This record gives sequence, C-alpha cells and structure tokens, in this order.
Amino acid sequence: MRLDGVRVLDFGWVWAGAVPGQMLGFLGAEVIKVETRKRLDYMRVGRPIVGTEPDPEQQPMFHNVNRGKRSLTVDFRSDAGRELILELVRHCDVAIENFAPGVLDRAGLGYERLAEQRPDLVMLSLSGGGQQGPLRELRSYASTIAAYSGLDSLAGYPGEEPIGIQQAYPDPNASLHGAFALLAAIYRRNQTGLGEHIDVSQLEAGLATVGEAVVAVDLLGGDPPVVGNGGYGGEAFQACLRCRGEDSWVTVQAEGPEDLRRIAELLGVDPAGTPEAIEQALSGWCLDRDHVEAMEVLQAAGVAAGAVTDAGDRFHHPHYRSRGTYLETEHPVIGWEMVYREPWLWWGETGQVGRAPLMGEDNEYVVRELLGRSAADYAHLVETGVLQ
Amino acid sequence: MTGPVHPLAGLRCVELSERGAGGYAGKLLRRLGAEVVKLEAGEGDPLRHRGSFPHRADGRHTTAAFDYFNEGKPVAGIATGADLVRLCEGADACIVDLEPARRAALGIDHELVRRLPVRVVALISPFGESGQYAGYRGPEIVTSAFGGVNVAIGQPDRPPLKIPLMQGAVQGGLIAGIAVLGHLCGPAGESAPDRPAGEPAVAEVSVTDVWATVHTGTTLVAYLFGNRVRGRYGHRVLGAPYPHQLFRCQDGWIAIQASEKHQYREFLEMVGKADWYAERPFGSRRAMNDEHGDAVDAALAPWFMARTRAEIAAECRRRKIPAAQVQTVSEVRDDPALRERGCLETFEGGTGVPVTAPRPPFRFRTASLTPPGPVPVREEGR
Repeated sequence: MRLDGVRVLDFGWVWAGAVPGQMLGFLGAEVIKVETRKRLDYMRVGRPIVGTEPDPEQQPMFHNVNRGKRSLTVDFRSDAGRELILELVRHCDVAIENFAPGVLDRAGLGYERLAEQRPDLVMLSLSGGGQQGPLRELRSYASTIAAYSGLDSLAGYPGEEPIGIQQAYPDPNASLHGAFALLAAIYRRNQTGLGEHIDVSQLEAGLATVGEAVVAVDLLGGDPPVVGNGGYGGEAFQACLRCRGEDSWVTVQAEGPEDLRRIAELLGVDPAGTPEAIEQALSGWCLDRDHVEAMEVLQAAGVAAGAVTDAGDRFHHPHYRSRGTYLETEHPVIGWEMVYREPWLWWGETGQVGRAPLMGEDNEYVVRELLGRSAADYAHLVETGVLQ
Repeated sequence: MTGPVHPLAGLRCVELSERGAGGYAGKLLRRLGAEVVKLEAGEGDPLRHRGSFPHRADGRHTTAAFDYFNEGKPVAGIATGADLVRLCEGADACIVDLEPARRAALGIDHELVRRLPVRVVALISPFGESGQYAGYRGPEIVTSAFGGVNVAIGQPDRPPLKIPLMQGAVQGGLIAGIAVLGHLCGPAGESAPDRPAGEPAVAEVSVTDVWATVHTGTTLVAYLFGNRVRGRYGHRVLGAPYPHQLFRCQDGWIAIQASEKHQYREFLEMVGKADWYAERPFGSRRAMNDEHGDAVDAALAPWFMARTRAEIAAECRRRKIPAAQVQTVSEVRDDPALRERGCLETFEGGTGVPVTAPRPPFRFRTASLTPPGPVPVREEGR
C-alpha cells in the first residue's frame, strides 16, 4: 500500500474529524484513533442494533467513517495518559485533531509539545473558524457553515426564498480539504524532512465550494441568481422531472441544439420546437416510466440524465453493485452490515481495508508492541483507568 | 534543516480537464507549489464558454467557473492522445476528467492511459470506467442526483433540487488529488503485482461514487437499519431534533442548530419560551421538528421578526448556540471577518477584469501557497 509505514495519531472525531484519517488509512497508513470513554465520539452514540442497552460498538455510521483504523482508549487528560501520548507520538508521522482551538494545548498536547517529541511531525488541526483570527471562537455545525459561506443562499426554487442545502456536506468537504493538505505536507516532509502544522477551517473549506459564485459577483455586478435546477451557463434547459411512482424524479440536461434534437426524436415531436416546448413534452413522457428507466432511455439516446436516488435505490442498484461501491461485511458485535468503499478504484488492485475498531481494541498492541512497555506496566495503566 | 517554501515544489503535473474536477485538483496542486500545465484539446476547455456565469468583455469570453478553477495555469493545446503522451514526458502525474465519449474522440483509451509516462494517473469520469453506466454523460445535476445528494434538498411535494454550483467538480477534484498525492507520497517505483514496471498507477474516480461513498454513503445506515430514507423538508432537516433549520427574521434568514441539550435550553431561553423545556407543548424535540414544524415556527415568528440576523447571531454567540446568518454571496465577499483572516484574494480574470475569489483553505505554519495568477487566455475561435 502507498502509505505503508506512515503512522497516524488520530484525535479526529465525529464526522469531519474522522474522514481525514480514514483517507490516509485507505491509502495504507496505520491510523490509531485516540478515544476516551469519558466523552464518547458522538458517532458511537445512538440506538443499538442488537438489544436495547446503549452500546458504543453498535453504530454503523461510526463503522463507516472509521473503517480500517485501530483504537486506543486513553484518558489523555490524566498525567499518565498525556505521557503515554507523548511517548506514542515519537512513533507517529502524522497527527490529526478537530477539537475547538486550544483544547489540545490545554491538555498539554498541542502542536509544539508534540513536535518536541517528533520534530518532523505533520499535524492537521481542523476547526470551525480556524486556529487564529476573528472566527477562532466560532461555534459551528455543518448547517451553520453552509449558511455563513453563502451556499445556502443559492439553494432554493427560482424567485423564492432560500431553503438551504439541509445536509452536512460541509463536514466531509472540510475533511477532504484537510486530507489534501496533509498529503501535500507529507510529500514535503518526504523530500525535506520538515514537519508542519496545518490549519484548515471548515468555514474556509466551505467558501472554496462557492468560488465561482464569488467570482461571478465581480463579473455580473451583483449576486448570482437562484436557479433551482436550472443551469448557470446558458444550457437549452436543465430540469428535474417527475416520473412514475412515489417521489420518483429524473434530472435532465439539454446542453444545446443537438441534445434538443435527440430528445425530440426520442419523443417524436418537432425538433424545431422551442426548448420550453420540448421540455414540456419530456415532462409528459417521464410520467409514464420510473426514474431509472427514464434515465436509461434518455442516456441511450445520448442525453444526459440521472435518476434522483434515495438510499434504497443506491444500495440495490446494479451499477453500484457491480462497482462494489458498498461492501457487505460482518461486524463482531452487530453481524452483517454495509460500509462504503474507498472513493477511488486503483486499476488492477483489489486490496481491502479492514473494519472499524472496537473501543480500545488495540490498547495492548500500542502499549506493549509499539511502546515496548512491560505486562506489569500495561496492567497498571488499565487498573488506574488511564487505559479505559 | 531548510527546504522549499511550497509543499509540492518539484512536483510536475499535467491536467487535461473539461468538467471542472480536474481543474480544481490542478488548481490546488499548483497553489501548493506543483508545476501544473493545463492542456486544452481542440477548441479549448468548454468550461470557458459553457460553465457557470459566462462573461464577455473587450472581445474576450470566459466564465466565472473557468476563472476560479484555472487561475494562474500555463496552457498548451493538444489535438490527439499522442500529444498527451508526449506532453506527459517528465511529469509525475496526469489528471484527466474528460467524459468517455470525448476521450474516445481524442483517441485516449485505457491502453493509452497505461502508456502515459508518469507515476500516477487520475482518470475522472461521471460514472466510472466499469458498470452498466460507464459511458453515460454526467453534468453536475446528473451526478449529484444519482449520487444521492439532491433527494434531500427542496420541499417534500416539489422537485428535488440540485446542490448549487459545481460541487461535483470540487469533490471529484479533491478525491483525484488525494489519490495522486497519496501515490506520490509512497515509495517511488512502487508497482502493483500485476502492473508491469514503468506503467503508471491509475486511480479511477467516478464522481457519482464520490457522492455515494464519502458524502451520502452513511445515509444507507438509516435505510438498512431503520428502514428510513432521507426526505426533503424545505428549510428543515427531517428527523433532526428541534431546532435544526433556517429561521426567517427581520432582514433575511439565520441558520440555528441547537443539537445538544444545553444548547436547546439556551435557545428556548433566548426566544422567551423557557417553559417549553419542561412542558413540551409540541411533544419531543423530534416531533417539534417533524410533525409541528410550521406551528412551532409560527409561535416563534414574532421573536425572530423583531430582530435582525446580526442581532440574533450576536445573541446566539453570547449564549454559545451554533448559528450563522444566511449570507448572500456578495455579503460573503465583503464579510469583514473573512477579509481579516485573509480568506479572499484577487487575480486577473479571463476577460481582463480583476476578480475576487476564495483563497485555497490551507494555512501552514512554515510552508506557504504560491500566489494566484491571471486566468490563461486563449484566442477566440481557437
């Protein structure tokens, strides 16, 4: 694997914090997730799959975004826990954290302290508004990032008030920008031996998603319009049309005259008709078939079309099935479950990344094997609650 | 020890992009210090003409999308796949995002991709290189729909909405860049057991897969274990504990999400409904959201409509409730806090007009980004 030999100390939690480490794990790094039972990762909290008792091992959401990692459960706010982390970081190449700015510093585990132990450490700090500056104290969720960054203002039906994107898109978006920066800094470290501390704010990563709209303010002399499902670039038409069945929809783009002709020929209507007339005819045609059939017939005619899928559609769809987009696996506690695979496919390679860890599953590996501590030392750390 | 200021100094990348994804990957790589050459086939990158927000001035034509994704890149023209092979000589990586039919027209097939003289190739397409939809066309609205994003945006009884702008390009570009850098961070000369020496590693990036995995993959959990699919709920999130939504106020909208109990208590105190915490007039927080959202909104409307976004945001800050004004794009562009942090930058756009755009969101303690550069111009009609 590409990042074989790269070890990651991963304090990242919830969604945004979990994904950068996951990306490095997908590339072959050994990722040690640092957890504490005093404050569970929110992704470990929820209704259990088996039985009725709360159980941090029963959250498939957690299993998805932490697949392939190891787990070390340590009270890193205790003196002995802090010392353990400081010892461990000497064996690590990368650290990841997404606590509020200053939290790790106050725990005695900020970048400077970690870099004293490991000077070429590459560390990512992911936060809402950045490690410095006027937004350092920003309390944010993905929903508020979408609002502040301007993305929500563009989501709505034309001529109506904004309704927002209403999903946590800014979380993985920030994670992926963080992973990108981490890899750039690892590349530099490999070339020069230099460590680095990277500051990525979710808000700035959110801004990166509205880049062309910000540019458009200068070009258009004002805010870009809310177009709903319409296009921004002079397409003949672009729409989301109702199909047969409950909440069944297909998206279609007619880029120009050639696409209009293809649609008209498929429908048997006048190809010289206006885009509005052809779109109207297509609306009627879609009502007679379900969203996937509409997509396939249109694409076979050379027209860009895509069914609006829900989770069930995607899980069962033969296209995703044949590409192995979702992996069916066995989890030691809940049994059968589904996890998404890496977001890329390497040609000619079939390597599989393992499951998400149970809490503290790798405590002994880390303390005994990596750090070389004695059995008595290990037992003492367990007895005193440093290892949980 | 000292070293180059830019993280990717010395890395060379060739980008052949027409859908934005390769452009975004190339933009970030360039700003991180890589030497990136943008290749344009035939008439040039169609994004110059058909991307988001076209603009014409002084006989020059561009789009805001082209400007944003391509500032500062040197460009070169190619006619065929053979030109691509030639121009990859000496490069470390090649990123291609042309749709399959377009690649075929240029003679860029899988065999040619395997002959590219680079260490790693990212091949981006709407639906991937395998599976029954492999050759399908995939503009943004199509990939985000099939990838499961659109289904949650909009009103429940009306068409699902596309996620605004070119998010597929941004996310596809990020994943392509991560794959490329991940490979280049590994040992040089690494070859998979069944990959002949000298052949590049190829990372296939399907934009629909990117949506369906990292972004919407976790929504399958609720379906598989709770038999629930995510629906649209207008300015709210279905299934969320109240409040998790946009609120109409005196001068626009404000987003508030008070998920944790202490945040919810503060929220109720703020809007003058502290008694709701114990009395629960609308039932559970989930029932407040899913079943009585309109009634709850109506009860709180007088409080919100008596205040501006800024006033409410300030009060939320004081009470440590996560909240943010729904800003228009021009408000974002002029936001004093974003300006103070240096989140925006200016460069010469494709029509010669200075344009402002977000700066890549990376800040390094010791390394730095390269500066933005003018958008590469290509003569009309070439």
